[in-house]
Amino acid sequence: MGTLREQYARLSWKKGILFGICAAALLILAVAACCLGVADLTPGRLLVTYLPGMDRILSAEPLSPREENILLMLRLPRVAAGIVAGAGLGTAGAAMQAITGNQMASPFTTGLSGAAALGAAAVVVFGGVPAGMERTATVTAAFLMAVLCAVLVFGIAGLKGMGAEALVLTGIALNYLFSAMNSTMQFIANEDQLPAIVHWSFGSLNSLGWTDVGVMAVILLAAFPVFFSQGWAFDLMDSGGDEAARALGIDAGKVRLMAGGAVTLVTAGIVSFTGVIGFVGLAAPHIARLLIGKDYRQVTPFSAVTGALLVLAADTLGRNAFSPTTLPVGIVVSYVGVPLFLFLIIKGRRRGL
Amino acid sequence: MNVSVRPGELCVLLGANGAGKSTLLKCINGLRTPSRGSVVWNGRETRRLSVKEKAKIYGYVPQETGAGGGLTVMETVLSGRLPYMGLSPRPEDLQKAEEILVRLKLERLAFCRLETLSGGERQRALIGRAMAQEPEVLLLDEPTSSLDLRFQYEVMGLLKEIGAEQGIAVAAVIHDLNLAMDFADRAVLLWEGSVLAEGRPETVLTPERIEASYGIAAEIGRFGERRVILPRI
Repeated sequence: MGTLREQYARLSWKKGILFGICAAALLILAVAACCLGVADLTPGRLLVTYLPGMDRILSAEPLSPREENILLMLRLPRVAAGIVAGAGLGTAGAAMQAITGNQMASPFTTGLSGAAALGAAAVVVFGGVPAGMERTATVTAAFLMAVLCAVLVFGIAGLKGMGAEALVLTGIALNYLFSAMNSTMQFIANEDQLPAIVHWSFGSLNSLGWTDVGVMAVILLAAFPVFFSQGWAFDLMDSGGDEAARALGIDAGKVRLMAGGAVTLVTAGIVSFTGVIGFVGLAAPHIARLLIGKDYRQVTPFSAVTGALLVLAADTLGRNAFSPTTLPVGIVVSYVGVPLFLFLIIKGRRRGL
Repeated sequence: MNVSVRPGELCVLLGANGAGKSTLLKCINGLRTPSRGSVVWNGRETRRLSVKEKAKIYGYVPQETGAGGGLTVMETVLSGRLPYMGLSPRPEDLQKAEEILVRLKLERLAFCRLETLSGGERQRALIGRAMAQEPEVLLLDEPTSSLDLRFQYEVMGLLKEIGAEQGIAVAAVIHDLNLAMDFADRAVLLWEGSVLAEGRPETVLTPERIEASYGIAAEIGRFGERRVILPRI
């Protein structure tokens, strides 16, 4: 048994090992996602191509230059985008649930998705963008609208003391507002513009390149320290409310503002490139909880992995289920995630989680 | 309002609902800002202290214990070290938490989640968390209100012991006047936001003051060495 300190250290190790297992599962899925598709890539062929000396052990063919191009310029950036988007939305979801004290919250609770969609739709409808700059303009408009929405939500909530309730209610109200504005955009759009607006709202990893992935990854890496450093604060705000946290030296309003800012940047940064990928931000933290328990110090990093697994699995399925047609990840993610989510809830109930 | 609590002393704040007991506690530790006047700690106004500085001076056990959350008893007590530690507990933080858990006889439950505990066990864990803050003043808002008779006496006994052992000034809001009689070194009777009486419980809790404060007539009987308050029904 040992002292309590030794037992505590052992438990921390066990949680670390479980995290390692989940990360290994993500790595295996990433390799599978790189291999699955029209071009016949196998793990063996990848090893023979990129690991010197493997051709003496394995009898696989190395990749042709065309196949290498498919791997490096199409599949790998897509897999990386899926991981970054999933990890970002997962952690942002966990943080949002913590700062609102509401397990139904997601990164989109503050109306970011509707605002980003409005930004993208405005570029499609009103145009005026130089040729070749359409994509950059759409991404920028979506990002700026999402950030503007967050500034409004946190600004208004701040007037009411930055409490969880004010944050959620303001977010819901603005969600409805942006939803109405999006409907207006779709109403006034012509028949060429309407499919583009609707398609953006599906959420997709199509046509994402290394530059897009790089921008998303930089934003995510900048936000991770904020999320991970607030684990104790999230736990105390969740279990005892703002007063209990404050009595232990944590300024809940400041934590809410800081974590909310990080959620905004990550979510806006991701959806402006991918469109709206719903469900991940809600489900990934819950799946993480069912795996590791309710402690936010673990839930937050685990949500990154479960979110990445969810998006990557959904995108890989969407690419291959009806090949050569690719279903947008924003649609498939619910088909993949909901059954898994329900299974874990039922299993969790039996275990009393 | 002037209220004094000495190191090592257990002071109970008494009074009818709405008398201002919980508000007084929250004004003392800075969770609320008084509409008039100021709270002074060693010559400094507490509102000028940072949240962290206040957490090193005042340990606080709130009325709503917050049964949710995923923390174990060990982690709950460790969270009391937050004013001192960074993201991860240091060896000395873990040692302190272990000492407190042993002191509170919670070592068997150290790795149980707080939400799975009984009311008395949870209350002890939260007292442990406040002890881990190494406070100079321990403030408790109705620590016995949701507990059965045995746990009420256990918790009050514990507060008296840790106050005396560690030289902490303990101030607790309670409703049970007999608990006040049995355990408190000092009682403060509040009425409509001001101090009606302050001193030894047996001198503060007279039938006249009880009637004035709570609006109910009461007699004080003797049961051996103990004084017992009997409301007239």
